[in-house]
Amino acid sequence: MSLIEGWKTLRGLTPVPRAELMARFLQWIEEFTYEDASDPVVFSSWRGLNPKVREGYLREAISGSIVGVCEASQLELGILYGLFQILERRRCVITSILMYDLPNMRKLLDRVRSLGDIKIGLMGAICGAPGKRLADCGDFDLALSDYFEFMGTMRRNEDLFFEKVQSIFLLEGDLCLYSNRILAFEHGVPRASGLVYKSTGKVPEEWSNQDFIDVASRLSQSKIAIAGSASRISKFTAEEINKVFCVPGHRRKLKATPDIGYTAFTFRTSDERLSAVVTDVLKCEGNAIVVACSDQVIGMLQEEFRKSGQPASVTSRAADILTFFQMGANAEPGKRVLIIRGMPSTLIWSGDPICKGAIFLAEHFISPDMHGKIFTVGKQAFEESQPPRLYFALEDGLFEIYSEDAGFERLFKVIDFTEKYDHWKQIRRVFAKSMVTRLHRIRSESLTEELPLFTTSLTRSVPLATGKSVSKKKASAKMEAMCFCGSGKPFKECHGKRKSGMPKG
Amino acid sequence: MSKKIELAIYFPDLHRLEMIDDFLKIIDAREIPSYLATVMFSLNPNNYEFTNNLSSLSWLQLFQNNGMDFSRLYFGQEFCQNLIPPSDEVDHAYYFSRQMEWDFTYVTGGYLTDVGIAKVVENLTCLRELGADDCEVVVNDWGVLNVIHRDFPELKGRLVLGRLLNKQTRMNLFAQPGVNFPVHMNGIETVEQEIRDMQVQSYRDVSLSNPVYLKEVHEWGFTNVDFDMTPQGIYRPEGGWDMTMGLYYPWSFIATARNCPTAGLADPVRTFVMTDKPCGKMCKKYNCTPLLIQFETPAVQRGPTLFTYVGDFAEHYFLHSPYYERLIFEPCLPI
Amino acid sequence: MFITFGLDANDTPDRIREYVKYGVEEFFAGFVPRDWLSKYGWEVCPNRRPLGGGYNFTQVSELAEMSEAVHKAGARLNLAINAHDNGSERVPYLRDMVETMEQFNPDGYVVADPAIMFCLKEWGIRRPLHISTGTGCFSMESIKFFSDKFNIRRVVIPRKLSISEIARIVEQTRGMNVELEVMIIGYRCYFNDENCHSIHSGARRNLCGDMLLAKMHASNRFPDDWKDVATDLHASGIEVFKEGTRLNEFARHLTTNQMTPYDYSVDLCANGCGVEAVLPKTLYQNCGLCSIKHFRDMGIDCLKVPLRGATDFKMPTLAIVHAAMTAPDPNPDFCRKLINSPAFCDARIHCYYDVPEAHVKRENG
Repeated sequence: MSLIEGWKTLRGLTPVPRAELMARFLQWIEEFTYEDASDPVVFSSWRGLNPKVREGYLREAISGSIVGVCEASQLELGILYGLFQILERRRCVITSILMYDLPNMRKLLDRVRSLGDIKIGLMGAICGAPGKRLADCGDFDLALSDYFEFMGTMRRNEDLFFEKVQSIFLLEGDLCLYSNRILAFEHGVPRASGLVYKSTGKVPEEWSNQDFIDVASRLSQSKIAIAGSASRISKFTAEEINKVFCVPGHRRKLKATPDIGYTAFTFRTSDERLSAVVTDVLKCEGNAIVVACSDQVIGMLQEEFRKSGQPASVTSRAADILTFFQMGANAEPGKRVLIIRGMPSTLIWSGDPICKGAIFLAEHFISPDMHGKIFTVGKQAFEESQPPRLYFALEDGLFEIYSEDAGFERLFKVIDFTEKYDHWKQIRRVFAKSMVTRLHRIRSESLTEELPLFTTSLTRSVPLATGKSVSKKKASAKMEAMCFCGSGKPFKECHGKRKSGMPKG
Repeated sequence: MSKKIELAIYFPDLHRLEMIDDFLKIIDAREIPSYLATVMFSLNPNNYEFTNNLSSLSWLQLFQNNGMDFSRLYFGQEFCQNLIPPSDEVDHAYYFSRQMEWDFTYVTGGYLTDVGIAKVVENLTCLRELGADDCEVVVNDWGVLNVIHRDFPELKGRLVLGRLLNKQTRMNLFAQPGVNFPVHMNGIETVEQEIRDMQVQSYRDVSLSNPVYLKEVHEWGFTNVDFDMTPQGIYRPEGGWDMTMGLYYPWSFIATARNCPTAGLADPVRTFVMTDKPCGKMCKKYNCTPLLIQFETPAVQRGPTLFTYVGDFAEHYFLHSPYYERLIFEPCLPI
Repeated sequence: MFITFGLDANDTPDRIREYVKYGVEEFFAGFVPRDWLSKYGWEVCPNRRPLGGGYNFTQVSELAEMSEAVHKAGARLNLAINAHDNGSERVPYLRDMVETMEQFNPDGYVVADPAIMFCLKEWGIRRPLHISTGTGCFSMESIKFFSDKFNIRRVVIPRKLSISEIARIVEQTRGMNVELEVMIIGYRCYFNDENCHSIHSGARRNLCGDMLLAKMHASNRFPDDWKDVATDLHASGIEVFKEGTRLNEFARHLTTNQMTPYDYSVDLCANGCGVEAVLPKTLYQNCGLCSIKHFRDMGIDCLKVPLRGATDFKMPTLAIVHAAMTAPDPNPDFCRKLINSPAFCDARIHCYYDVPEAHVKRENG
């Protein structure tokens, strides 16, 4: 039986127990994802996973969970989840905050379209359909959407949203439900998104006076089937999402993914930190990605690299990673360094690592989960030559705010005192991690629903001479003089004589 | 200014060449009462040609004060094949240069059709027949170069790469002194000033700096290259491309065309497209310039070409150690 | 005769398939990767679309997708590296771009700068070259200059030639095994593209836009003796404001037989017939449909529709070019019906080339 016939058969099945449908579906997707086993893009990441692991991911997603998949392709998982929803007669919307690689996305969708009877919708710039909305997707079976546009529809046109949307797959679900849990609107347009660092469960009165939606709460109470994926989820974030989103008996609880190991270094000043970053980048084996978020740090990084003689390019698009590390053999041979502003997307690359290298995080991001995602990008892009590293400085805004409460200065005095010992670097590493932990605790105590943290906002006078010619030799005088040819006649009557019929002026 | 520079003077036709003394006469416009100056010069962009002639002459005095004077005549038409001087004007101009004891450079134009090339061939033939063995030829069209290689091989070694083939970026309309020029930063994360600096650095560089191309340019017989003065300056590598470098002053062109708004005064179609009807040469009597008041550096259109006066930028080229060998003075807009 | 069409980052394989249905046999595109952008920004561009993102591809994956889609659709793909001037510092980056593109078997390169043509040769690139308008081949001699030195498949004829001048080039180059291509629709450039050295930037309106909007000042040129007049005024006062003075003669010279530039804004006045001129003007800017018949008869190989970055305008524009190209008799009446805007067609400012017979009847009422 061909793939298409197999799909049609699955679709045509009269309602069967879910377990049976699942079993048949899993069998079918083994063929579907292996239709072109040599394709480097379409389901290549899925094929690269251990069969038990990938089946586990899919089962967990279908059961309504947000699955931690580390470096695996979340879009591929989302599409397979969507196909199952179609079999269960539900329309599915896959939504993402982070950018896809559009050509790869299109290839995956082409494969889905090849099944013949699936109508696909796209909404939002992230999917290459700027200006398109839910209403433009018609009677879709599977749609890809931009998270802000999609949730904006929930705010603007609740009826349409809940009528059309029967299941949702959240790519980097923790970014959706935690880091961008609260959306603030103005005249129906999303203007900012924010998080509640540690939820107490209270809903402050102010929230009803403002045009906010709490996406996690709204979705948790809906009848929509919701699942998702995430590259890395920390225990803390998982617990926070579980508090708000996972209504007992209705929504599956999230589980944390294994910690991504990284080394942290702290410095008293930003200059020291940047100098260390650049030194370590130059020393590392292979190429490097350096991630930061503030304008100041990015600017200074560029300056430091320039001083060191190491060329570095800057981008805010993770899509540039592949192109950047594939090129440069002539223009910038040797180590290639790419500085990325902001959190790069984990949804871009699904193939094999591009080259050997390491990822360096030159600033502490707002939530530690973001670090996990950034380091995931490093693992996707590189055959890692060393574990990822985090560098921060007491001068960083994030640490400055809390330094008095957290006593970071006191820690540093200890480090200064111990500097003369050989293992001061080791001590610095320990203290760096303990500083991060301390920061995290302080934020948990202060940043509750009472103080949500909005993280994304959804700009002659020319001296003149007097009265003579600028040339010493006046031409008129020369014209009167004897002709150069030696004829003895004045030039005007010899070679300088205009021929008859020659127009004047 | 200690280095000796060769001074050339450039005329596009015989009529104006014969008025050379008038063109080089300095008058002090400050002595004219302002209400009279308003009648004369008014706020008409076409008149910048004349007022800037006055101011440019003062800089030329620098050269005079350093013992330099004109020693070469540039003659010919770069920008409009309808205005290519006929061969009897060319030979007259050549004789003029001989009488003045100057060297002679015949300037050919760019974007020439076969009709224009035929006129150039006529003039080159005329110069050959005059025995002008030392005259240079400014080449601004690849077709002309092809003809020279085939039919005038003796000119190899006396060719000048003209400013229409030497495609420097003319920043002029983007460069107001003291103001950062606009840079489109959408999607660019590098610090804006760094991008700006890199762009300026790029604009200073030219294709000629590519060794593989330079080698060909030498083989084609070019020994000189002419440039426009530009606000960003020109990067001349050590060795100077092994060619003599000339600079036009005070008019650099920004853009040119075959369509012409001055011709369009008689036939509006010609403002934008080419027609087969002969051109009425309205430029002999009229000028037609767009009013681009947002630019501090005034632009003047003469015929099909938009020029800018380089007065604001010339200072750098004059007062610092000059790295060029020839200054080509344009007493009038060369159309 | 076929169409060559510009692709940009907003084009998808679906769109490419659609374009091919409208007579497009060949595509061209630009590639500007991150390390170039990080250093030079958009304005210093390896091709002639320096206006920002969307006009060029920036990712290898996009190049791969586009190449695959084009070749699968049976068409050809050329990479445009047709900047007029390329300083040596940038050339290694260009080499990286070319070597990256080579993975996808492009069918050729569109070039304008002889320096790049020689560089490509040195790098061992043997694919055919298309000589862009930027080189400025206005004559058979200039075409010969390049075809004797390089593997030239095609020459894009500059826009600012009359139809008969183009016909002469076609005739004179018949034995040269070089295809000829003409631009046919879209923005025509006020100046010669090949001789415009102003900076183009997405951060402001460019010189071309300024020229179209600027008020033109026409005035009589100064008389030859203007400096004498000025010298005479040195010591003058109000007494020269009289009849018979040099100043009066000078002023008379400036105001006799003055000419006024044609006011093109009147051509955009409401007409009441068909579509108002401002709509096709926005969509097509300049239109050369009436000249297609001439080009076809004389043997032009290819029509160029260079709409990179104008995604929404692509399909309607392509459709009318295709309709005119494939019509048995695309005379001016036929072409006018395609545009459906008498006011647009009557205003000769919109014509890409001068086609006198397209306006004769109208001029004769």
